[in-house]
Amino acid sequence: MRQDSDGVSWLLRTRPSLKRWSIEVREIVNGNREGYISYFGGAAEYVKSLLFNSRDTSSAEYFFEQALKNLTEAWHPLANPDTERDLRILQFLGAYTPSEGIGKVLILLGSFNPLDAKGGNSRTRKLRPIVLQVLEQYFPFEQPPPGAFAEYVAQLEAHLAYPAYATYAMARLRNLRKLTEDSPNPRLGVAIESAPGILPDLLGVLVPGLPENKQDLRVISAIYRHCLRVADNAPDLLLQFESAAELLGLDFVKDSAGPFLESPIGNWRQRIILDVEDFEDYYVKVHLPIDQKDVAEKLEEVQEKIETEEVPVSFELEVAA
Amino acid sequence: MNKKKVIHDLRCALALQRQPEHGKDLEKLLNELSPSDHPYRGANCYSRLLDLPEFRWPSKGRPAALTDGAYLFHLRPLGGFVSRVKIKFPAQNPAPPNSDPTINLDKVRQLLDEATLEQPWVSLATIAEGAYETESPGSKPRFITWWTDLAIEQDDILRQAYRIGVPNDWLSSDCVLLRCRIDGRIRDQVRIPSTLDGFASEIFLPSNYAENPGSGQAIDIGDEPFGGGSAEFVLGPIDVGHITIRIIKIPSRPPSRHIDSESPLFIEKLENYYRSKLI
Repeated sequence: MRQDSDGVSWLLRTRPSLKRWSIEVREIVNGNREGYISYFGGAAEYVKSLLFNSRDTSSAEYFFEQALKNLTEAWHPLANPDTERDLRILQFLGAYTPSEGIGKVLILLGSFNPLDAKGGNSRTRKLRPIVLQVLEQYFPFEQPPPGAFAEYVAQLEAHLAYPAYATYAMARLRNLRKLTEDSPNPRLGVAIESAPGILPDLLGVLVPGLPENKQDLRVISAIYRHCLRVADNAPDLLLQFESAAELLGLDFVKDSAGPFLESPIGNWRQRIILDVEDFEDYYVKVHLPIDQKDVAEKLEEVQEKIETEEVPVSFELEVAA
Repeated sequence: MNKKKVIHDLRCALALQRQPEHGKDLEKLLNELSPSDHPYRGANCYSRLLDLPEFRWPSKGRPAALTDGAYLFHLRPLGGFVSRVKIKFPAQNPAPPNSDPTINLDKVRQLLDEATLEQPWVSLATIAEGAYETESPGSKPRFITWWTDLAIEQDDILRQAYRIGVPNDWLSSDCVLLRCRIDGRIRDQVRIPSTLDGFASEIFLPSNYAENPGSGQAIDIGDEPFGGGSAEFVLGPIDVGHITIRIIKIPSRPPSRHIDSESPLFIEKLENYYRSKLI
C-alpha cells in the first residue's frame, strides 16, 4: 500500500524512523512526490529541506542515509531500466555520493549506446549528462577507489570524440590533471573535424590558464598541430582555430618562427609548440604561401633594378634564415 | 475526512465567492482530482495538473496596481530556483549539455558567492541566461512566479517569510532572494493572484474582486490567529536581465518556534482562518 503523503513529511520531521524514511525514499523515486520535487528543484533538494527542518537532524540523517544505502544496493539500472526513476536515484547519488552507487553509475555510463549524430536513444540522451554530473560529484579530484577512478578517466577520454561532450570531458580531464598533449589525438581530433564550431569552447577551457600553465599551452599546441595535419582534407580548420582565438579576445599571430597567441593588452605571448615535421607543414601550408607572394614581389623589384641600374642584386629567402 | 481535503473544499467555496469569473477554469482543474483528493504538495495529481495550461501558466487574473520604480521580491530555496534557470557555467568549469544544475548545486553556490562578494545584489544575467522559470531536465515547472512588495532582508528572515505565507518546511538552509524592478515592460504583466494561480498552495486566500483590490494579500502565518500578510503578485517567465539576486541563509530555529505547514495545529489554524473568511 502506498504511503499517503498527507502528514508524512511532518512525521519524518518530528518522529523519524528507518521504516518511514525507507518508504519515503521509495515514494520519491517512484514519482509520488512530484509537487515537492517541483518546488524544491529535485529529489535530493526535497530531502535536504526535510532534514534541515527536522526536530532531530542527526537521527533523521542517519535513517535517510541507511534508506538510501539500501535503495542503492537494490538498484539495477541495466536489469530494470526506468528512465524517470533512474533520474531521481541519480539525483540522490549526486547529492549524497553513497559508496554503493559508484560502480553502478560507471556501469550505467558504459552501457549507453555509442553516440551518434542524435546522441543515442532518448534514455541515453536524458541520462548521459546526468550520469556525468554524478560522477563529477564522486570525483571532484583524483581519489579512491583507484580502479573506479581509472575507469572514470577512461570514460571521459572516450567522450572527447563526441562534439557535444568534448568540451566538458576536456575540462574535467584538465581539472583532474589527466589532460595531456596526447589527449587530443585521435579522439578530440575526430570531434574537431566533425564540428569545428566547438573550437572556441575547447580553447575557452585552456586559454585562461595560458600565462601560468605550460600544460594548457601543450594541449592548445596539440590541437593546432592536429588542425595543421588534416589541413589537406579540412583546410578551413586552421582558419577556424584562428577565429576561435580571436573570439576569445586573443591575437593570433603568424611569423616565420611559427604561430603564437598574444593577449590583446600585450602582457603575455605564448608561442605554439611545433615539432620539426609540423614546422615544415606550417611553412608549406600556412607561412610559405605568404612568402611566395613576397618572393614574387621581390623578384619583380629585382627585375626592375636590373633593368634600370644594371647592377647585380641578391636576396635571401626568409625560410633559410 | 482528510484535513487537507477540508481545507481544499473551504478554499473552493471561497474562490467561488471571491473570484467567480474563474469558476469555469477552476472546474477544469477540479476535474483532474478524484473526489477524495486535494491538489496540495504531496498529492498525486501534480503531473496531471501540469498538463493543463490553466494550471501551468499564469491565469488571466486582474491587473495589479503598481507604480514604476517599485521593487518586487521573491524568496525561494536555492535548488528550486536553480532548476528554473539556465545557469552560465564558467568556460573552465562547464556542465554537460542538457544537464541538471541541481546536481552541481555547489558550483552554482560558488558562482553566486563569487558574484556577490563585493555587493549583496547582483544581476541574475551575470550567472544565468534566458528567462526565470524555464524547463530543466530535473523537473517540470509551472511558468508562474510569486512576488511580494515586502522588502525582504536577511535580518529576521523567518518573520518576513511568515508574513508572505511561507512556513519553515517550504524553506531550505540556502535560499535566494530575487528582486524585480517594475517598469513599463513588466508592469502590464503583473497580476493579482487568482484562485487558479494559488490552486496548488494550501496557504492562499483568493482576493475579493468585488473590493477592487490592487494586489493579492498573503496570509501572515506568524500571527496568532492568522491575519493579513503582505501584498502578493504573480508574473509569468521574466528575462533574467530584469532580475537581481542575493543569497539568503535560513537559520535553524528551536522546534517550539518552528511553523510547519503539515503539523495538525497549523492545519487547524488554517481551517479556522478560511472559515472566518466565508460569508
